[in-house]
Amino acid sequence: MQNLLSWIFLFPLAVAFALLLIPSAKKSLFRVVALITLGAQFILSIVLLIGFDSSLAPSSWKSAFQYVVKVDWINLSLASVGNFKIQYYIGVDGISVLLVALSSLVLFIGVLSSWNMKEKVKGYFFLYLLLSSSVVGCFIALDFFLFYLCFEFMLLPMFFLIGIWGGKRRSYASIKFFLYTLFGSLFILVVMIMLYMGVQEEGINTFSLAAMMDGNYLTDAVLNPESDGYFLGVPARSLAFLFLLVGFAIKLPAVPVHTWLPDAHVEAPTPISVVLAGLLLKVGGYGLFRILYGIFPDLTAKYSGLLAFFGVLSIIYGGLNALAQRDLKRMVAYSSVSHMGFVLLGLASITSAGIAGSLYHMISHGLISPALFLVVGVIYDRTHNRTMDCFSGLAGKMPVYTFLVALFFFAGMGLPTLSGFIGELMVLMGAFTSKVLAKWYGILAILGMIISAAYFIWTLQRVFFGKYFVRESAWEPHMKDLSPRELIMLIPLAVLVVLFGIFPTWILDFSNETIEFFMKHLSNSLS
Amino acid sequence: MTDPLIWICFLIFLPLVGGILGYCFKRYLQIVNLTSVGFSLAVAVLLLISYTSPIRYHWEWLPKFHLSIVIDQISLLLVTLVLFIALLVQFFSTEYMRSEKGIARFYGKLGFFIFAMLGLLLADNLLLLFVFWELVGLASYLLIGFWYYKDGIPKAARIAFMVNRVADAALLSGILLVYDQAQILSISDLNGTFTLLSSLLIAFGAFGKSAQLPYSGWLTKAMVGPTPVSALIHAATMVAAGVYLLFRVAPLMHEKAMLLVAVIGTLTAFYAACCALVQFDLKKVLAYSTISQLGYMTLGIGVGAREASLFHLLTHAFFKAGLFLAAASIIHFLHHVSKQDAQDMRYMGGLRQKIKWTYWSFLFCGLALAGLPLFSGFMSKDGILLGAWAFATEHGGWAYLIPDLGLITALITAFYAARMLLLVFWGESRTVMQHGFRESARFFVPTLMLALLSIWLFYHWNPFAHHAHFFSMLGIKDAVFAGGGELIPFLATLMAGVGTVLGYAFFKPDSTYAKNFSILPIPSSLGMNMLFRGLALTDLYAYLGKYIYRFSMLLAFIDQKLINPLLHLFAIGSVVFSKVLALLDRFLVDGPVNFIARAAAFLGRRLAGLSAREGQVQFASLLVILILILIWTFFF
Repeated sequence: MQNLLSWIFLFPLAVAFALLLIPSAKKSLFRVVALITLGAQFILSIVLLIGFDSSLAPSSWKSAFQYVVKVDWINLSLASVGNFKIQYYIGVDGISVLLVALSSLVLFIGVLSSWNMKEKVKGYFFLYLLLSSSVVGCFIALDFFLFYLCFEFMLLPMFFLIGIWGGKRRSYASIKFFLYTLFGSLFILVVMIMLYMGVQEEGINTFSLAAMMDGNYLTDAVLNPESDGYFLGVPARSLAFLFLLVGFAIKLPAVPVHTWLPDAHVEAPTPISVVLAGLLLKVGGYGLFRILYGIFPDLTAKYSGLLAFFGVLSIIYGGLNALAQRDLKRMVAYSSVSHMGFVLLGLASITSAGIAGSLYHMISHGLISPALFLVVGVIYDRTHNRTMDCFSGLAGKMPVYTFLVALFFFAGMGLPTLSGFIGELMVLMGAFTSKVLAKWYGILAILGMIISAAYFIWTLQRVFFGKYFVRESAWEPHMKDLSPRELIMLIPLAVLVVLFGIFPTWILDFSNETIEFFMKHLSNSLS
Repeated sequence: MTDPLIWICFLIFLPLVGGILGYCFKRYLQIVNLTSVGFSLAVAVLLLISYTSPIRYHWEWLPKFHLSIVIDQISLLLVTLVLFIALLVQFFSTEYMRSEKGIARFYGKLGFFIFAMLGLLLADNLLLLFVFWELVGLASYLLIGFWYYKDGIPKAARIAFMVNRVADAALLSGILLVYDQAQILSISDLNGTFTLLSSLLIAFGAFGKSAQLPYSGWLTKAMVGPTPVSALIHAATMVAAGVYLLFRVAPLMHEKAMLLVAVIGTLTAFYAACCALVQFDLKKVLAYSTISQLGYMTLGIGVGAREASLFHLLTHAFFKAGLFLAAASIIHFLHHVSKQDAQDMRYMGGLRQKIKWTYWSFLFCGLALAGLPLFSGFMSKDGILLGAWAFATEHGGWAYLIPDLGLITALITAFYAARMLLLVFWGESRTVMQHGFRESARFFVPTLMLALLSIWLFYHWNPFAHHAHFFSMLGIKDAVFAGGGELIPFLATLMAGVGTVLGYAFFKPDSTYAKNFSILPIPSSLGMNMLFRGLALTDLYAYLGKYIYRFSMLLAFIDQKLINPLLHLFAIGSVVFSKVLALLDRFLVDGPVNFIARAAAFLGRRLAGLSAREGQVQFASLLVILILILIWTFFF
């Protein structure tokens, strides 16, 4: 039990290297191995959820985590400079435990979606398993160095997965994605080093996130809230806050640093889009929670207007862009940008409803956006086309498919009783009751809900309703309703989207105590 | 009865379960659906009869946030009303939709609608109300778009949904502002008044569902759905939701917002009645008359006569559902015997002899709409006008315009009701009819039941009674009756009478209008044309939509052609910079290094040549030693 988290984290990694020993000729074996591995990961993460004590009310971040494993990884004595120490320090709290569970579910569904992968299967599943480990690693790492390692390491498999298995402009998209996010990570790297220099645990400099959140700064550290370190005439702490914000905003992504996302999504194969939208964006959101808000709580109120502004900008700008798209996948990609704006807005509100709403929205979007990419993938698999004008009236031919598409579209536009609504509602409740935000942020965000309804309903009308039509008669024989494999992928997501829309406490109960503590953490340092 | 909560759950969920079961077991479709709604209705009636005091249930939904439902007489009364009409409509549809392919889908959606509507009526918490409010909108979208494969229908459904969505956004903003102000959202716990902004937002949310200006265009678009759906949703129940919401929150609303509610209601009632006057499509006439009657209800709430509005909601639900079901019978009939557009009144006429049960139902309901005494519409409209009069005497000045316009609208209403009745049923038929047709009992039984309910006797023995009498009969004591204005019943009767008589004079079978009616073109003069197109509201929405789309195209352009190129510029810039660096590296940094290496090689070669070719080893050695000494002295 003690090593459960390590199993969830490292098992796919170990299998990935074991996979290299299987001869490339045994093509169908790879997907089976990957499925079993990620199935096991999923089961383990359910065990993790069951074993998680959601009633634990922490008193400090050090005690806030469960399933903690903390061993020395690198421990160098550097004579007069001191000790250089990196720990293998992992654990989960009420925020990350949900994201771990979400990751293993989405990764598992991603394997199902890769089932018919034909080319270079070995390399594909090797990279996919690497990606699985590093995504989970991001959510459980409590050592900043380990986090950064996983954060960066995600790029590598992702780069190849888009660059090799992607669409026509794959090399452009993968390089853009890689460089853009790498650019963001460098900002994070700078802050990480600044923090390492200033934070100590038991008299030794440390990368421990818990120690950083608890604020164990050296008295003369440049980032110590009490000291007033300046860097280029700007308070060092503010600069670090903004650096982190840029780094994670690129990953999230927030307008205007979002343009890598539509290209990456459009070029990526369906399962990679699923993981990208479902999980990689959440790493950005998680970073905002854990690192930006966790370590710099004292600056949150000062910059909340900034966060809310970019949140609302993303909501409206992303939504309007989605409205303008003709490519289904591009539309879904921009809708992701729009949805991630709510995460920013919820955090900016600094209310427990808003912050819990941000988390809820991440989980819910982690279910809805994979589903949306999967349903676009269904049509792409059949026709190798996903331009809206090429289709019309699919409802008559593919009723089950249309039903599920409509369900996910309605979830995406935040219709009540579906999970998308709860996240948006709580964020809006936060934004309206916030002490630091003006009311118009919330009202503008509600405008975003009109826009999202517009593009989803319009797409529904153009592609699925009306007279039946497909542009090329060669597609005709392929226009069949969902196969069992597609149903197995989509139905669990549909069920969860409905259940989480009706019983929000099923999710919120896990994170209540952590969010409470998070709020206390924020308000203590703000007062 | 034991715990009413179980019964309430039973009541709400049964129609939904029935719809789903019917979809799964298509053989027993009608039976399952009718029984489930029938049972629900029975439970509702039992609860209404055994009612003693309001009951509230609440449960924690979000952390520290409770949802609640309330069961009081008003909600139970409306629940019963919805279930009763729903049952009749379902019964009617067994025949009307019989040959449709997707009839199971139809009943499924209908069941979902009933569920959502009941939830809306019972919700006590504004947020829970909003949840069901959205679901009702969704159900309406799905039912309008029932024939999704036909041209134009999905678009009409989308317009209806989007207009509602805009209103919903206003409502949600209003609700959240209230939440910020009061920290609670249960209507029964809220007290004090909302701020002006939140009141206005809530009012503009309510206007959406109840098709008030400026949203009213969606209701005419919604007429492309199956006509029984129009009867249930777009006449009796869903469109009343906005009025119901205003009824519930009226005591909490800001005074100025209520003034606006009254004005918007009056204007809507008036404009829609005028529009109804020039329509050719029978369903459009009914749609505009619905908008107009909803305007009356809104006006009633605005002037403070909220019980009167509720009473009008009740009576209107019966007679308008009756009118729509009768219209469905007419459309069905014409669809079978004639090739012409079955909804166009220009091809109707003389149907009195052909479908006489439908005629009688239509007549009764139509007279109730016209507001003639002895019919329910008179009683309820009377109450609203009385309220408006009291409001006007209190405020004075321009406020008299409200009852005045209300009375004029009453005249127009009677006028177009007579027009509709005469042109559809009287005179000679204006189309070629092929074969005989027998009215189905499944059509006229529900229609007749609704027609009978438009007679005064079901509400009070006195035909000149109004809402206060009706509600006190039900045991609702706090229904206030605005005193004064003894002239109002007289004036209302006069207006309705004059309207009817004028209508008869204009549209009687041997009048010039009726004679030329079959070849009447769409009005071309600006004013009439605007009325025909319902003030071009839907064009306005399309216009707005177009510009928002263009704006989004502009943003997409910016995204692709501005943000991306900036990024590319950055990328290209760094590549150029690195190329320059590479050149510098090659010539400036590597150049001297290579120079030294080449110089050394040159020197070496020279020296080697010296010694090898000419054999001057001593001289060469001397040279080496000299150079070494030179270096030695230079450095040390």
